[in-house]
Amino acid sequence: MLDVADLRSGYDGIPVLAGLSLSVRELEFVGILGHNGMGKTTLLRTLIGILPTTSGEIRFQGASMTRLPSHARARRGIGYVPQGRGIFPGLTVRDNLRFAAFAVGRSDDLEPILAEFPRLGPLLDRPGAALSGGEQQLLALARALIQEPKIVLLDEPTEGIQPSIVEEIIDLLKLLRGRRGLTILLVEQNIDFIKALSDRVLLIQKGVILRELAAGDISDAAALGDFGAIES
Amino acid sequence: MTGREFASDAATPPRWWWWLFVAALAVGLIILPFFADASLQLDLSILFVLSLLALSMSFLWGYVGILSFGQTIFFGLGGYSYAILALNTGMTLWSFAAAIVLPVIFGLVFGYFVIYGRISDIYLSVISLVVTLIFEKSIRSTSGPEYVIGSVRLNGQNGIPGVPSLQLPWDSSAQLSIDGVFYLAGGAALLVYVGLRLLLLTPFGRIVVGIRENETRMELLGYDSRIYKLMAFLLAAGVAALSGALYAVWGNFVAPEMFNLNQAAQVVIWVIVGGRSTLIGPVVATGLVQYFSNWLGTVSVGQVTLILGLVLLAFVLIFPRGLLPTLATALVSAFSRFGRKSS
Amino acid sequence: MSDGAPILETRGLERRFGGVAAVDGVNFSLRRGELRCLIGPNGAGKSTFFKMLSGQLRPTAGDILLDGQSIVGAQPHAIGRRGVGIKNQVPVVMNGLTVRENLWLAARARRRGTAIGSAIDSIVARLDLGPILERFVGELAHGQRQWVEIAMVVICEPTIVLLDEPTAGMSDEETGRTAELVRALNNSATVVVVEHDMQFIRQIARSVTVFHQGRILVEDSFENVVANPIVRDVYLGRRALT
Repeated sequence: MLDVADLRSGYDGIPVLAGLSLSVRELEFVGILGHNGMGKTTLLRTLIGILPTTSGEIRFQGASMTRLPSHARARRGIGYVPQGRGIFPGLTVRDNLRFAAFAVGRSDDLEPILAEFPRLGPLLDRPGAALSGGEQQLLALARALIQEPKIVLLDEPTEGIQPSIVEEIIDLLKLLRGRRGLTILLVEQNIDFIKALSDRVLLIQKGVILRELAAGDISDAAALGDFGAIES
Repeated sequence: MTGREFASDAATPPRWWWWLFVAALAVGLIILPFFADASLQLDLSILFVLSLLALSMSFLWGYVGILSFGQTIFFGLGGYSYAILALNTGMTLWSFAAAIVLPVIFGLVFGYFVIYGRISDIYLSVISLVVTLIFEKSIRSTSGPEYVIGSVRLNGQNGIPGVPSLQLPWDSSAQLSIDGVFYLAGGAALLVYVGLRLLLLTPFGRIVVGIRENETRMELLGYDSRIYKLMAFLLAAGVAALSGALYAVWGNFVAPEMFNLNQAAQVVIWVIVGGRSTLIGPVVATGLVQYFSNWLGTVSVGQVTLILGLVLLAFVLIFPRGLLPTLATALVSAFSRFGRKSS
Repeated sequence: MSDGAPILETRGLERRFGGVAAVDGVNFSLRRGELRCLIGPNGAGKSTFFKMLSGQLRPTAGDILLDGQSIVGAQPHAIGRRGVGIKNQVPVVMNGLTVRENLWLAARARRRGTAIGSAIDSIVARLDLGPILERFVGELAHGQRQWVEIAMVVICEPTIVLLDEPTAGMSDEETGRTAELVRALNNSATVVVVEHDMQFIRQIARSVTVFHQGRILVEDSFENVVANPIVRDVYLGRRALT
């Protein structure tokens, strides 16, 4: 479904992705593990189009996406949940969700998404800024899903979320895979989450994919190898 | 993403070519009167004076992060203070000094209320604009003979004419010539520019930039951001007041226009066109904009203000960072492309 | 290193936003030299609580006593000067400046002259910040920005260290190093940590306070808290570690 070939990108002259290639098949849940600064967030931002590609190819469902602006990629069915939530602090929860639905031309009926995210129900009229960090994370996730994307790019979705809700998210995403046909590319530090959710895991280091592991193998510290210190 | 807009490496000492640039400016300043006629010197002098006003705003906005539309408050107060004191006392040098001090005292009161009251950015900008307009309106209404300070009539919208030029410190019967005004204004502008640039290297300068970047974090570290902002505000006020006093010395005349919206807007235009993230940018822009307006006037284009407004619009849309930063970035990427080609 | 007098105390602390009480009557007490963990569901009021302790938010009711003295209404910089250091949930750092400049500003707050340079060198070595020293903080990865904020807090040598989700966005290896750092900090400071990462808390916790709906639900040792059925229900989930 998603094919990335030899992708390069970076910030202001500092290259981060150094010829990265990966593939995600339909209905797969793929996890990406890596230290800070290795390119995880940069990869997702390049895929959604917020960061321009220096070189390389991104193909989605067979069609090239490399030169498309990000809103066009969103309309093609790529959902994105950024690190740091990225919700609109001045809008209510309700409006955050409706905005997302409008942006890709979907119905703004909130019933279905609230059924999947019951915790947001009582918060509908709260402005985004008044939510706690974890509540904002849930909103960011709901906002991506209300757009009924074909593939969702998740950047550390469990950061700041309490353990019981992390479980709920795992259950929910697995449910949605069956019910809606969801594909996921997931960047995470939480190994338990990646293990529970992913079919396979890619290790990213210095802007390329170092190794691929089956989800079951990632409890083995030796298989993970030594990532080294914080590097940029 | 952030940061690159500003010369965040301002804390690093300027490179050798900057010192060369400054030396060249100094030399140019010294020798120019030997080659140029009086009218060019007068034109350049007013540019130096207005550059000081631009510097006061770009320092305050670009480096401290306070957007004040009212630097003209201090410009006008500086000019009027000099005029009133010099005409009353005949002691032009003391009057000049006082013309810088008095507006700063006003700045202390105004700044204290606004900064310690933690009035937020946009309100501060608007309030400062309103205060300058209040000054303009108040002075315009002082036409009658009863509006007198000492022996000097405020004269309302006609302004105060016959403001004496500065006496020479070593011979009080002699006054500053056109050359003298040129050297004074040019020297002041150069010294203030160099001074502000070097100030950014000092702990005070670095702390003020830190506060602009993230006031909350600086407070959490233990810095009382209010006192730093106030001191920076007073410094900017002093520079604007100096500009006003020099204006009075240059033109021998002060008028309520020094406080008005047009003047205030011009300052904003210089800084936006030149780029608020540099100190030299607005100075260059002052020159360019003034020459451009004068040229428009000479070719009899009626609506100079309208055209300036369009210029401002164009810059905000096309060169949002301003002229100099855009040029600098273009040069840097051109050089780096050469570098890449050769490797 | 622990003696009897509470270094930090809150009485009936409350913070409302509109009609909602984010913190709803909290009586909290911290002994000098403690290492306390604060856990609880999202929206339970932990970050709001921290922000009141550091002076970033004013309580709508109640009192906060630092060494017996009320600090409600004090300016944040005064509270910072009195030795409270906070690392926020979302990094509050100077994004437009380099890491080095951020550290310089933190060091300059309490030191002068050569002491600034040596403080920076020592924290850079300790937290391995060498490779990113000249980078602009706004361009760093999220986890790296957290390290910068932690470094800035540590440089100030606070007497009370508040860490709001210090391991968010960190790999297991980095989390382990953070646990070491927290234990080391606890040798000279009182530390309170808000976290969701139970593996991390297990590595450092002695006593745990559980927040729920703006109030303290339970305060106990790590083992007891994790076994508490209400805590499992509202926070930990069924499959939580045992």
